[in-house]
Amino acid sequence: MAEKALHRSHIPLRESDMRSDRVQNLQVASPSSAGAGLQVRDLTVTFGRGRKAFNVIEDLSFEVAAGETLGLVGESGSGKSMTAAALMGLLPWGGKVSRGSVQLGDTDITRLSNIALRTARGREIGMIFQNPLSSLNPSLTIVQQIAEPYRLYLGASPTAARKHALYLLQEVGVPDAAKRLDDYPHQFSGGMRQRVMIAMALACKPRLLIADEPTTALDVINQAQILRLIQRLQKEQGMAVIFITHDLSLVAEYAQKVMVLYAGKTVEQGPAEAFFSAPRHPYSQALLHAIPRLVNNEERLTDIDGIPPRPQEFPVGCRFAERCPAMTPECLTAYPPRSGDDHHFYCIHPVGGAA
Amino acid sequence: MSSSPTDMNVNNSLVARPIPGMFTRLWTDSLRHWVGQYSHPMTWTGLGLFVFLMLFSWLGPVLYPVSPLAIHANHLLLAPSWQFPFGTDNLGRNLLARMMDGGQATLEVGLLGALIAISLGIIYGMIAAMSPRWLDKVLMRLLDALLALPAIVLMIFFAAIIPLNALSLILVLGCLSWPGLARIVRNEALAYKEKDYVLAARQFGASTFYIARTHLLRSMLPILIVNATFMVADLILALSGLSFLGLGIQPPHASWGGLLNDGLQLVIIGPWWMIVFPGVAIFLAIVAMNVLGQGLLARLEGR
Amino acid sequence: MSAWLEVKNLDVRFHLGEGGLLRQSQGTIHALSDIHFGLEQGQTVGLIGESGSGKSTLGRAILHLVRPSAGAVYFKGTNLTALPEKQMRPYRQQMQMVFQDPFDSMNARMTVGQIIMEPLLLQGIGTPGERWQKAEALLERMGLDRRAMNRYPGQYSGGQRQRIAIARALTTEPQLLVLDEPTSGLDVSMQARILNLLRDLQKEMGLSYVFISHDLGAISYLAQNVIVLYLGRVVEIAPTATLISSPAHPYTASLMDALPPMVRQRERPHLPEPVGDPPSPVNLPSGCAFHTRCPQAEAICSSDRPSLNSVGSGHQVACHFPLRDVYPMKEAVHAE
Repeated sequence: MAEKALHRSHIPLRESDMRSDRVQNLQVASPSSAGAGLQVRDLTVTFGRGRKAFNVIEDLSFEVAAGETLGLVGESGSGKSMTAAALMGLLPWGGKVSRGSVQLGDTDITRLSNIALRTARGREIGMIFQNPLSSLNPSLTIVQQIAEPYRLYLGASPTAARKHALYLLQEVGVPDAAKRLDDYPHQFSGGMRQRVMIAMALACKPRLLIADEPTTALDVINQAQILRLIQRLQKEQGMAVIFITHDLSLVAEYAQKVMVLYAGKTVEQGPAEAFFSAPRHPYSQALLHAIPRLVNNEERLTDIDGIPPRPQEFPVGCRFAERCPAMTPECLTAYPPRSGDDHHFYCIHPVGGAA
Repeated sequence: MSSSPTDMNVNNSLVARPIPGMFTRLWTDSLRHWVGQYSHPMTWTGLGLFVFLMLFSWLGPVLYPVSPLAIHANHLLLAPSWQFPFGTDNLGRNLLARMMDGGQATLEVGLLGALIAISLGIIYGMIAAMSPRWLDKVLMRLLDALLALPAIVLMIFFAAIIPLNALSLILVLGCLSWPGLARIVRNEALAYKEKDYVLAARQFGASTFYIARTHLLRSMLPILIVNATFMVADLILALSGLSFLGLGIQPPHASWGGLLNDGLQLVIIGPWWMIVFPGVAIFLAIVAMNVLGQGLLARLEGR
Repeated sequence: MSAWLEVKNLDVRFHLGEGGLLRQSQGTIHALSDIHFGLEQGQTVGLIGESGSGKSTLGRAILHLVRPSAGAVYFKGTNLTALPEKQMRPYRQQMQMVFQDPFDSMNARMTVGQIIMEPLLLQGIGTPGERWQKAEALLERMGLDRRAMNRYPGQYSGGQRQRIAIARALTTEPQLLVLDEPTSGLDVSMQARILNLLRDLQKEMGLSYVFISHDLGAISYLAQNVIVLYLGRVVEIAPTATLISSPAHPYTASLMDALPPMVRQRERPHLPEPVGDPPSPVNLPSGCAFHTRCPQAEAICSSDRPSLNSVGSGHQVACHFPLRDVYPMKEAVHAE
């Protein structure tokens, strides 16, 4: 890990601030193993038909290699959960992927039939949700729920599945795992339930793990433990992880790549280090400066007036324009073109000078 | 007494003085909002159908001022014709006029009976929900006992001992139907009682009565209305049932159930108009209310 | 010398399940135990703790919404806990609460105007016209359109609703606001908006806040002093800067360890993580409540409950082995 010179920026960060020094920095898998990773191109999800059709996400493109974590950042209404649903093929009724492709390894999962998709979902993609209580079936025991994907997709016998479930519970750090296999979800605390969810998601050793706000409902200490657990398991199993959150500070700690969504479109995207040392889009900047820190907080936090537009009312032109301090009339006429390559953004008045 | 409202205000010129009609505007805006919220094809269909039936019953006699009691001795049991659009019955009375008269009675019983049932149900349910636990338990056990009694038997019992006019039937049917609603009210009230906004109101110094009236009732109003619509349908059906036992509205006054009964008594002779018209009317009234209720329920459940 | 708002030896217990003819009472939750702190006018005190720490209960106890089993709350010298409800009424105007859930804290079937005017209505302040004007004025101060008066909360986002809740709390011109996790569950930019607003309001109106949260970053933005709660007990009290630079209780240090580096802005102390989950509040551990998870617990920690001792100016800790110099003396990162 090379030492990097820090250029002066508004965010006083040192590289050690961006990485927790307890866990090693992950060596990112080289792009030649792209066969094992996720590649999304121009993903667009549409609801409704004919004239009443509207897109909730448009033209999303990103890649996550094995062993890499992508932080998908957005606030409510940005479409981040819809992205996760689209990747899993679990769009709500009325929605469909109208454009684009999702390549997991060498299969395009948007082109799969329902049955094939179900298999892919179980074996290749694991997902953890925000609220572990409502995501677990309260009338089934833990072992039944963890073993289910294993039995279904890998055809294991009940004994083998049980052994595997025990192993998984121990891996995720549930104390007294052997005794707790036959417990019900309500007998676990919030943090433990989230660990059970992780165990379920990993039952078939998936290639991709989607974590949709996995720690929002948890206390600070639990949050840190769960995220470090995910990081450790990712390293051991070489998974790609998409970490969906609205909290940039977590992304700084755990992700190698960042993608910021606003109103269904990407506004900025790039390697984490480049992003955090110099965010270019005004929205990303505002998000970063809105986080209260423990010291140096006499200055006001950045807040943005207004609320994001609804999908039915997405404007032509830059969707953030009406809330942006740097707006000019040109921003409203057409969607800003892409600027930059690895670290790219969509703005004609970016922070830090000309596009 | 009051603190100056301009204390905290930054920009005095923007503070409007109370405009005349401000509160009326609040009411119409609210109405528009709630109509928008609960509008649903089924709701409008049901409502429209029921309103049509009501207009038929109450506006009808104004437009077709024929007496339902007049006997035409040489026009007995005639099929529908221009002179008698719905035909005549075995006493030569104009069936269309009788249908309108009967409609008034039937719909009255349905609507007012439901109103009584709901009022009693709300009172009992609220008292149970807002009282200390032991009293709530007692009241609910009492309610369980009441619910265990077979309603039909009681209906027959009471109908046999009271004068059988519209008013008394309304009272009896209403008083027999409230326990079911009371249970719903009490359960809903208990659920809403724990909400933060009730706690906030208590923090502002609200009395129990204020909380019950303003917060709890308002929150449970939609589900109550849904249940009310189903209750109207039930009561219309109950009245028809009583009519078959001869315990409904007594002659010469009519109800749709009674007219249906009259027709069925003569079924051997086959005056289809005496059976079909009342039957269809009852059917439409019940369907209208059920569809209205289902429409509201659909919106409530977020569909 | 007593502070403007003073909590003395406060103890709150809840009984689970009813005892009765046929059933045993299922135990007591000891929600708060021996809470003791003061707040001066115009200042903010932050209450930090995880769920089960009793912080919400403390907020409600201060406002007399929950009856304490022991101890007292003194406001401007008067013992509030001893007052019957009738005499409490005038005090209710002076202390208000903002709740955590912006969805449940307002009746969705009342218009925003009715919601904001409700406290005035219940306290009998002003004529309907005056109440309307005041509510409109507050809405504008919160940055919302006046037309919101006739709209319903369901038409607004979480952040906007929370601002409406703050407007409602301000109608009776209170001097003390208890804010129970007002920013949890909100997006980051909405959170920032609310925090800025609270800061501005405090300067403009001289409000005092009891700010309850599990987010140390938000607390440090607003509070001059911080109280750390664990399982209903105070484990540490300190001025904010002191707490952040030298936390003395292992629990406080572990809370800060768990923060992402961007928020923490400091080098990390190398304390091992606390082990396992917090115990249930029904069966509190003996001795120090944290000893079951504390990385440096010793024998005495399970037998003797530590009392609050002073370790610096305004800094108190309840620990047998308080930490010292957890953070190296080198300067904060931002001094470049």
